[in-house]
Formats: sequence, C-alpha cells, structure tokens
Amino acid sequence: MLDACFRINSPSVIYERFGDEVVAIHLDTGVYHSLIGVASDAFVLLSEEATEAELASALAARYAATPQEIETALGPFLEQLRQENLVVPVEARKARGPLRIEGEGMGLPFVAPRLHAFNDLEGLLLLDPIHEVGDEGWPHASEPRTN
Amino acid sequence: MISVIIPAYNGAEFLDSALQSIDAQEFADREIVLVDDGSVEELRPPAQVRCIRQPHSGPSAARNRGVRESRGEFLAFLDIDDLWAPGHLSRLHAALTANSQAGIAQGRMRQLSGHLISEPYRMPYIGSCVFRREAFDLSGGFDESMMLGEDHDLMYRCWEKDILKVHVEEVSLIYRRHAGNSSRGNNLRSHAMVLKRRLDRIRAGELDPSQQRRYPFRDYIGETEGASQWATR
Repeated sequence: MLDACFRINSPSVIYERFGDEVVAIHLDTGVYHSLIGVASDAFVLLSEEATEAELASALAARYAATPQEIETALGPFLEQLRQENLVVPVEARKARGPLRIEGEGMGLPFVAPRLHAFNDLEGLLLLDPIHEVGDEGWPHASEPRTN
Repeated sequence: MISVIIPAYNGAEFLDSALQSIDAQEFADREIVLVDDGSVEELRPPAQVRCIRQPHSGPSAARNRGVRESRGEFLAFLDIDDLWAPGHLSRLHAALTANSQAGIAQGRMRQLSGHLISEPYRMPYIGSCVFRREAFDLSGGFDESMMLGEDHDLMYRCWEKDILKVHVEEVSLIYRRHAGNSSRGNNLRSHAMVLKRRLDRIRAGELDPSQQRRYPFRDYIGETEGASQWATR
C-alpha cells in the first residue's frame, strides 16, 4: 500500500482550482467536492500520478512539517479520495521529473488535508450537456435513429 | 411592459438579426435597452432602442445595468448573438400572468452551429426566460464578479430562494455557436465556478445544503436530452 501510486480519475473527474480551493466534480455520480489548502495542493499533484511518499516530499517543500508527519496525515486523505473514486491506482507509471507544487510560498502551516463531499444537487450532470470538444470535434450530426 | 435587455461587447454583425427577432415578437408592450459594454466595434442601434454605454465590465454588470435603467414589470435578456423564436415573449408573458406566484417563465432552446441545429432542450440560459422584476431582485441579480457561468449561477440562486419557475414547452431561444462565443471551451470551468460560488454561500452561512428546497433541482435546472441530438438544417 505504501508504494501504491494514484492518479486523478479522469475523465470521470474534473476539477478547477480557485485560489486556495479546488472544486472537483465526479461526472458519473454528480457528487462535488471541496479541497482547501494542503488538500488542494495534494489533489493537483495527483494529476501527475504520485505515491504517498512522493506527495509528502513535495508538500514538505511548502508546508512546515516533515515528510513523515505529512505522510501520516495523507493516509486517511488518500483513502477518502479512493472511496469517493476521485483517484484510481496507476498500473503502469509514466516517466516524469520530481513533483513540484506550482506557485509561491514556503513554511506554511500544515493542516491535515480533508475532503468535503456534497451530494445535495440531484442531477448535477444535467448542467453539462455541451461536452467539451473531443478528437472528433463538436457538434456533429447524430446518427439517424433506427427504431 | 417587458424590458428587453441586450448586453453587448462587440458583435455588431449580429445586432440586426437579434433586433429582427425582437421585432418579430407578437408583443408590443416592450422597451429595448442595449447596454454597450465598452465595445471596440461601433454598434449602431435604431432610434427605438435605448443605448447605454459603459466601460467594459462584463456581461453580468451589463445586464444588471440594463435592469437598473429599465422600467418594465417583466425582464427579458437577449445576448446580441442569439435569436428569439417567434412568440417567445407573448408565450412566457402569458405563462407568468396566468400564475401570479411564478417569478420566472422559461421556454426551450436550440443550438445553431453552422448547418447543424440541435433538438429542443432546456438549460439555464437566461435568454430562454422571462423574469418578473421582483423575482429577479429577490435573486440578487447577476454576480458581477463572474465572467463565465453567470446565468447558471443566477438560476441556482433562484432555486435556492424557492422562486417558482414555470416551463413552456415551445422553443424560446436560438443559441448561435460561433468562433467568438465567450462560453465555448469553458463549459467545465464555468460549471466548477458555479459550484464554487455555492460552496462560498454555504460557508458564509447564507445557505444550508441539508435544507430541502421547494422545487426539485433536476427539474428546475433543465433537461438535456435534445442537446446532443443534432440534425442538418
């Protein structure tokens, strides 16, 4: 488990960063999530695939805690992300350089990351009928219906 | 009276056809307020259109300005690059006058993209609605800090305030997709931004997400079956 590597469960999960907060939406369930501070940084790092230890090391460059302290706090957080299907295990890792958190700031107070899930908007996915353009472009004429 | 508010930031090439679609409405008791939001292009509306010019402030600020400068008991918004279907104003006005409790009436919409047109569907596009002014005021108006998703955000707040919205089956709005659409490619970001605003309201204590709202969210916000069905015109 310690060496397990995770990535954000895209394309089912989309997210946007707004300053200190990430809003993540699971398009299959309609549940939306708020991640603030350490949680937002950790989540964005997961877009590049990461193990718990790699996350802890990257976060220690910004927050006033040791990698060990951070790793301890990350365990329950990653489990929450897994339970909500926001992240999935990575089978075959891609090559990449060291993880780095974008933006300024060092020695920030470390607060154990938490995920806040909201499922109060039934049918949330209805808000997105105009899907982002894929390789085939958009829109395109629908196939004739055959009854 | 219905006040028709057109926020415009450039788009001079679309103005004539937008005004023609207003002229084609079978509803005479109206005023048209064009808010030129600092366009670089010169917009030349005809004399019967009241034109207000302001420094570029975004679509929300332009619409709110139009509301403040208008006099109608009812409010309708048409973006300069969109079109109304014939009968839109009269149908939605009739729906509101038939139900004094209703604050919003909404018709369906279709999207137009080149030679393709979508089947009708319903989404929180403001151009497919007519608002009773007091309902619009109760909603708090458009969030002027939002440059994307402001219409969805407004509809969320109307739902959160239990403002009754009645639906009309006929098509009201023709939404034209083109290279200059400010919303194109930003759909997911605007979606997340609307939720961010809702989270902010929850944290500020303005909203209790556990409280049951009067109207089902799904029905209030829309139905999208037709949105992915496109046919050649």
